[in-house]
Order: sequence, then C-alpha cells, then structure tokens
Amino acid sequence: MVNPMALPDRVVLVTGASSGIGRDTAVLLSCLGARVVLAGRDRERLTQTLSGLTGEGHCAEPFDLRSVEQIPQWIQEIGKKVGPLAGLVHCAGVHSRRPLKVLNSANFEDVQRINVTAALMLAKGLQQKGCCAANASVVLLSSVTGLVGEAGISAYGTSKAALIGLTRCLALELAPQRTRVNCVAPGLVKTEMSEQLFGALTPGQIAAIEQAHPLGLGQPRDVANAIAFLLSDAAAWITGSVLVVDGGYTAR
Amino acid sequence: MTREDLLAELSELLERETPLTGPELLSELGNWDSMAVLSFMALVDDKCGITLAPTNIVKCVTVNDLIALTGIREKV
Repeated sequence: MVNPMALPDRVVLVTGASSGIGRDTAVLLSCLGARVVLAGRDRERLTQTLSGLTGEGHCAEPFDLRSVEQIPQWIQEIGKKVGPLAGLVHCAGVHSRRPLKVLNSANFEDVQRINVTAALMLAKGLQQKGCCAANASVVLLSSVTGLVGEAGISAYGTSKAALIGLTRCLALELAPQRTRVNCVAPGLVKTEMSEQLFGALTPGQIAAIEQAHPLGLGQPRDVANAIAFLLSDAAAWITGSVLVVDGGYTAR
Repeated sequence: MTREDLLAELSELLERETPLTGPELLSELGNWDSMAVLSFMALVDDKCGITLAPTNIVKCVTVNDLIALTGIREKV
C-alpha cells in the first residue's frame, strides 16, 4: 500500500512545537516517518512533545524566535547537527486581542515580529548553503483572520494576511531551487490558545462562533493533516497556495 | 496608579462626557461591550501590570466592581 503523505527520513523543523497545532503536527510527521526538529521557547514542554513522537532521530532545539536576527545562524547550526532540512513548518505565533483604542505601534510590531518577521528569517535561514534539502517544502501557519476581518484583532489579522503575501512571494522566488512554499489558513481550532480566547467571551458569543463554523470547531489534527500533505510529495505541484482548513467558516 | 487615575483612564476609554465615579451600572453605560472588556483588560495590563481574567470581568455589575478586581485603592 502506498502512502502518498509519507515523509521517510525527511528532516522537518516545526516551530511552536510545545503546544496546540505545532505539537500535533510534530506528532503526525513523526508517524509519517519524518525526523522532527522541535522548536519552541520552553525546553520542558518541548521535551514533553518529544516523548510523544514515534520513531527515532528527533530532537528538541529551544530558541526564542523573537531574536529574529539570530534565526539564520540557528538554522545553520541545526543543519550541521541533523542535516539539510526537507521541511520547515512555522506554527509559532502569538495572538493579540487589542481593540484600536488600546493598540499602539509597539504592540502591533511585537505581533508582526514573531508571526511574520520570524517566518521570513526562517526561510532566509533555510536558503543558506547546506541547510536546504532538494525539493524542500515550507508551510506557514496563517489563519482565516488573514482572509476575513474581525473586530479587535488588527495586529493578529494583519500578521496572518502578511503570511499569505509572504507565501506567494517566496513561492515564486524559491521555485528555481524547487523549494515549495505554501500556507494553511485554519479556522478556530480547539487548543490552549483558543481556550484562553474563549475565556474572554460570554456563552452566547462562544455559541455564535461555533455556529459560524458549519462543520463545528476544528481539532489540531485537522490542521496537522493539511500541513503534512503540503510537506509531502503528494503536493509536489503545489506552491504559493493557501489551503483553507476551517470547517466552512469562510464559505459564506 | 490610584483608583482616581484608573477611573479617569476608563472614562477616557469609554469616551464619557462626564467622568465615572464608581457606582455606575456597566449595563447602562451604553458602550460596555466585548470590545470594551478587551480594552479594559489591555488598559489594566499596560498601566498596572495586572492581568485580569475575562471571566471575572464579565461578572462585574458596576464600575466599582471593575476597580475592585484590580485591587487598586484611592490616593492616600
């Protein structure tokens, strides 16, 4: 039986691997045969994720992605340690709910720094000599909020829309090297982050959000499946795309 | 920050023509909505370094209840 999503011995870096979508993506990729490099700020939580992976050859590489200028060197060190990366998944990010009255440029730029600038620098790092395997695949985690508006999340929505623009530009720039770049745009997925968001809402507001997703709220595995697909040879002719995984939220 | 300062900041946030004093019912302010809750959380975080649980904010009935959540007191 052929598994078109198999990733045998491919080295894949996953940022945001401590929790939520990043963690489940790492778990799934390990089941598909990849050797996963787990990145996040918290070594202890990365170690917890590491203990849940299948197979061997995985490692944890704690790093604070806010140190954007150091990202390329960090990628180079990873390349020397584990070999060229066949995949790069940027799941790390911050959410921000600040209405305009309480949003200033520093808040705005903080969100862009880890959500967007880090993505750019990760791609830049990947392009260094010895860091990128043949036919590599980059997957950036955008959001439906990068496609449709929502009050109170200007900084976050902007960052997720920016990732879509970055995806398209990098896809064209890196096509000559046969490196594909795509992004996934999830709707609301049940994670620690979404639980915190729900804490700010009334039961009526939560019900409205759930009803806005025709297939209900998502699970991390729903997004991880999409990421794994885009990393795999099954997506060999897909680049510069936005794969919307939202239970129908944006179909309206 | 004192209680008076916070009342002034909240009054400005809610674009009040007359400053808040405390006993006002949140339900009668007219613009106390989910955006206002988020804004109040950010305000208290920025100005006081205090993180408020939104589940506690939505339980508040008056402006005094909001101030009490922060633990901020009157100027001595």
